[in-house]
Amino acid sequence: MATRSETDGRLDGIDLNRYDAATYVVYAVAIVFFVFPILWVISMSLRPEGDVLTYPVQFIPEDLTLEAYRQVIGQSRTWLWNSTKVAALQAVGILLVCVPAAYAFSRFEFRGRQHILFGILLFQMISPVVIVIPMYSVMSTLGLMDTHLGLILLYVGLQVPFSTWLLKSYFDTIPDQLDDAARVDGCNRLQTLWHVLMPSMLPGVAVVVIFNFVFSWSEFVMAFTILRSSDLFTISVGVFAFDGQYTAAWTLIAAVSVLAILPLIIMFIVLQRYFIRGLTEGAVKG
Amino acid sequence: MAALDIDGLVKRFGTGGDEIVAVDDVDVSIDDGDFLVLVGPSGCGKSTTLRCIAGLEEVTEGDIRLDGESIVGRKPMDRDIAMVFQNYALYPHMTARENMSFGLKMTSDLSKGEIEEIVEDTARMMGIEDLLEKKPRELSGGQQQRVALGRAIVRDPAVFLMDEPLSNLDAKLRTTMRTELQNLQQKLETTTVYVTHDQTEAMTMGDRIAILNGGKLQQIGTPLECYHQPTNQFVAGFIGAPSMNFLEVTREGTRLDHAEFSYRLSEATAERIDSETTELVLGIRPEDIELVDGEEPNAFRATVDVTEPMGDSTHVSLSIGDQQCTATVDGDVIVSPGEELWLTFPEDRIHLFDAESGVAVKNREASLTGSEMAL
Repeated sequence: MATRSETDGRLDGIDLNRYDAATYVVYAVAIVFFVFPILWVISMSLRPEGDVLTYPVQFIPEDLTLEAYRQVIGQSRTWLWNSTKVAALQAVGILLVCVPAAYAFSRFEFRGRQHILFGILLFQMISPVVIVIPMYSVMSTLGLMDTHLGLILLYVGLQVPFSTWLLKSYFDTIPDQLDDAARVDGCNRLQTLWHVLMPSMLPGVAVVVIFNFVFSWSEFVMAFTILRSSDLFTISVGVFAFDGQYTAAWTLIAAVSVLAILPLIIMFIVLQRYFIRGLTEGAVKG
Repeated sequence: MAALDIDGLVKRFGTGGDEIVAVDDVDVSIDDGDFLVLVGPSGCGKSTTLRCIAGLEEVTEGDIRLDGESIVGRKPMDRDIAMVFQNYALYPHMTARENMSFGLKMTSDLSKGEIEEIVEDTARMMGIEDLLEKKPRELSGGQQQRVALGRAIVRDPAVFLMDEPLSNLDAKLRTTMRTELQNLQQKLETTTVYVTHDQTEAMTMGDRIAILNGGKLQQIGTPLECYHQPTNQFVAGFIGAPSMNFLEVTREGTRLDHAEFSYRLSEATAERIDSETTELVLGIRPEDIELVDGEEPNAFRATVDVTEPMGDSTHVSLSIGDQQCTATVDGDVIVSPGEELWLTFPEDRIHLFDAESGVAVKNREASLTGSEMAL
């Protein structure tokens, strides 16, 4: 195994500076690969309509304008609100279902536990696109077509397996002795979950919330299938709608795309501190 | 404070072919204010017994009574017990103060002010008043252990249950905390059940010790009773460090024949052996082995393999034929590996066990009581 020498900054004969430089080159390529499309969309959203297809290509436009934003902000506001509502409520719904389920899978021994866990994992393997038609049929029968409730229930159903597994893995990292201590201290199971385990679970809950929020925010196929009225559209369907209404209105599509990305970035910045692991550090000496 | 009685306790896990009997018909009575240590090797059922008392495991059979009243079926919170866990189990998001007051908030009608007062008083007694605003991750192992003890003490329970509370501390701190715990228990006079796998802890801390093996109670008694008068070979081997030496012998009248030596018992001792069996195990504690100058009755030769000087004494590993044996000799005695020594086992110090059942058929004769020890 390679070992780092403190005296000469070498890694078993490999020059550490060269090693670091190579790493940074890989990072730089990866960043360019992922960030360039976003920067390009931002660039497009700040151009006048006629400057989109200029040649030679200009990354920073000569005439900067917020005209595209002015045009889309009115309609986008409704779609952003719809997306926020759907994403938040489906995240709450997922937590309501998955936290008790994950707690039970982590803490209780019961017949068929492993089989149920395997079944949940199996469901996760199925692509949502495969079940679009049956879901359409179910939603129609229930009268939930073209409603946010229908879409939220659909998202909750789709995301429960992954979220349950994720939360279970977090519960598994919390020592059972905390449960025992809470029970001796007078808590029932629900109080143990709420007072003792959930505070330690915050990083896991944050991951589940962020993951599902992003999923819901960017999901297109289900939302496009369920929602019909333009004032109920989520932002992902809205972006597509612009393409339909204003043929080749690239600056508008770019502007609404930027508006769609912003809330996710803000949310991530707000919640990222919960990603920092180690809340249970010190609970149990290991 | 309360007397605790465990009556025919059985705890089984699993069903059918997967069934495991963790605790098998254990009877223990603990007097009010007593300090009982449950000791045994890993998997012997000591922690399961403790968890059954706490209500964290359901009892399969038997009864557990607190001051004569059965507590089986009651929730942990309704048992008037407090527990200290091996890994402290402090709530990581709460300060030491919140950890200590949490149980009282959940189980009592005390006002916030009254709870604060109890926590402050206990913290002062434990010397942790400066740590009350700190979270567990900011505390050292010893400090966490004190907070965990404080959390149990504020409840003022009838019984303390302690599940290997010192096993995560380093050797030096463990010795200090051992003394602190004993002082604390004597001061509070609270009935305590303490689980450990460490026989030294058991010997030094308990008013009485209960030795478990394979879920079964092997012996219950004072530490010295268990040390000097073990009921079977398991107890004899488990209690004491270094362990008792065991040599397989065949009895022929007053003679005990081993492959390498022959040991002759006095008529009086031979008559006292409470067994007809001829296949026996001779047990002798390392400190009871005597070095002698040369050939004399019941003396035989052994070769020194390894010496472990401890300062005041030296543990000497010896070979008697192809069998290993340990003798503890005075620290001034200098012996070297390869050297041949003459040994003898004083007759009043030997133990004899039935080779098949392991039951003691003769224990050492110096049965020492507390007052005799003091003399």
